[in-house]
Amino acid sequence: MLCQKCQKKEATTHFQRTVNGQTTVYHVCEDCTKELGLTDVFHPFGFPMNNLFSSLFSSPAQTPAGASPACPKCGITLREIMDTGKMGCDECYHTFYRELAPSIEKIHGKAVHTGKVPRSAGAALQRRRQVEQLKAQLEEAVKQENFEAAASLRDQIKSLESEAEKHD
Amino acid sequence: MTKWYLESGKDDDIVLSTRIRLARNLSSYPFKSRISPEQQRELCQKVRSALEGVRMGENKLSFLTMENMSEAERLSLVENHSVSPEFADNPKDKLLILSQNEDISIMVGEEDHIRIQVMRPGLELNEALKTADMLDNVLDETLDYAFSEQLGFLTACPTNLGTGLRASVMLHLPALEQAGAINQLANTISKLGLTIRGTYGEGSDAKGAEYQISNQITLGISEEMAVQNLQSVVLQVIEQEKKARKAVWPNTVTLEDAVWRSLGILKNARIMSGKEAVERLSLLRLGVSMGILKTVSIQTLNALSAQTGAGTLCRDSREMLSPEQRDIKRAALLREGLKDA
Ligand SMILES: [Zn+2]
Ligand SMILES: [Zn+2]
Repeated sequence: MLCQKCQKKEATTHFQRTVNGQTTVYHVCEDCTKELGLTDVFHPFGFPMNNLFSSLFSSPAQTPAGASPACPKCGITLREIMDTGKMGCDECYHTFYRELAPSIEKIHGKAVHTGKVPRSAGAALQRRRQVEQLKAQLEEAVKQENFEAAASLRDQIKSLESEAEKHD
Repeated sequence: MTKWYLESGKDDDIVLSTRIRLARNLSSYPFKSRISPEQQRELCQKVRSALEGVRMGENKLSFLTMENMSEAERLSLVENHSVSPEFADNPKDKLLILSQNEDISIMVGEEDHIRIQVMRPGLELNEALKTADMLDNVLDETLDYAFSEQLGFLTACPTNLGTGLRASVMLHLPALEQAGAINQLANTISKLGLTIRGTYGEGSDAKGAEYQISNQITLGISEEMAVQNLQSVVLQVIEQEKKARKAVWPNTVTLEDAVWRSLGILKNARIMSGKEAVERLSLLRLGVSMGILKTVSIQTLNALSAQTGAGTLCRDSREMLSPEQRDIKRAALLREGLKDA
């Protein structure tokens, strides 16, 4: 079956949507699925994405029961995550990273964590992040010609870096 | 000890409150959708022991089992923003850690294992973040957080990945609302990685002209930067609201009339619905902020808003009141609270 949107590629996604009580089944190709934003499981605010996804995945032609991969730590299936928008455990992010990455990127942009680091992540990483943050603050202070703050930030960075050397 | 919402804060004639929330999970338990009741109870116990020794001075922490509370008590906690409606509606095996003045509330077993929340009156983002950060450090000393170098703190919903920080400021924006400027504002704000919404549900017609602005993005931005961004946008919105007040009510007598009428009704009514109370108190707040009403303080208005919610009315009278009984009780409370105004 050809994609209903572009009429070029083979349709691989089949989903139904109910609008004003009228249920329609759609067939679209992989590219158009992406273009329509249907790979975005977690629209951050306001939109009833869960509804859309439960209808998308409840189509029996699309996913036969039991075929969805499961997280080895908590046992949740990708399908359940898609339905609810919620992970089953921390390991889910690792297990389903490939499937989740487009949604995460859609919410936060192409980004890597730059904030606080907990003790469990290790003292070295904690220090490195702290230095990065202080350097950003330093840049800001210099831009605003706040030299007093800049001097104190420089001292803090120096002491953290010398501490890091001792430990490395 | 005075409740946090009865203290005064910076710009508190326009800023109703500041809220900082940190979402945290432990790596040793599955998240909410997969956690067993037994694990949930263990989790509560662990968080409890982690925080039992923390020194808070006067502002002591209480450990409250949600299941042991009456429905009215739980509803009252929702009205005063200490817990989410979801958390109050499903009290089984849920632990709430609440400080004496209610500015700190830690929910164990909400969408994430731990939700640290700090509320402040007025615009006090940095102060609130500092307190939340301190509590987070205490928990981090004994608990193992779920964390990845790339994705930051791992949360049940990917919208909170990274810092797990949601910083929100609740604003009173009657003039911008009156001028029909909220949609425009929402457009601008969303381009800055922030979001604005009315207090009750979605849509632009917030009750009592209360709007909440919060950060939307949590990954790739540090806690300090997120708070700084929000702070600078909020300051601009406050300026816009002040300008709009002059533009919307150039002839102060129309506004004065509306304010004094509201006061007259609140001082005399015998039956007052929750909705009408919110709207009338909103007008009084505007009146105080504009220098029209000099005999009422913002703190009095905050106290009256806090006391006249449906759940709090029932809690304080220790019985489940019917809506009619509540409206009568609410009117009486408002008359008493404003008798010197
Ligand atoms: Zn196509
Ligand atoms: Zn899992």
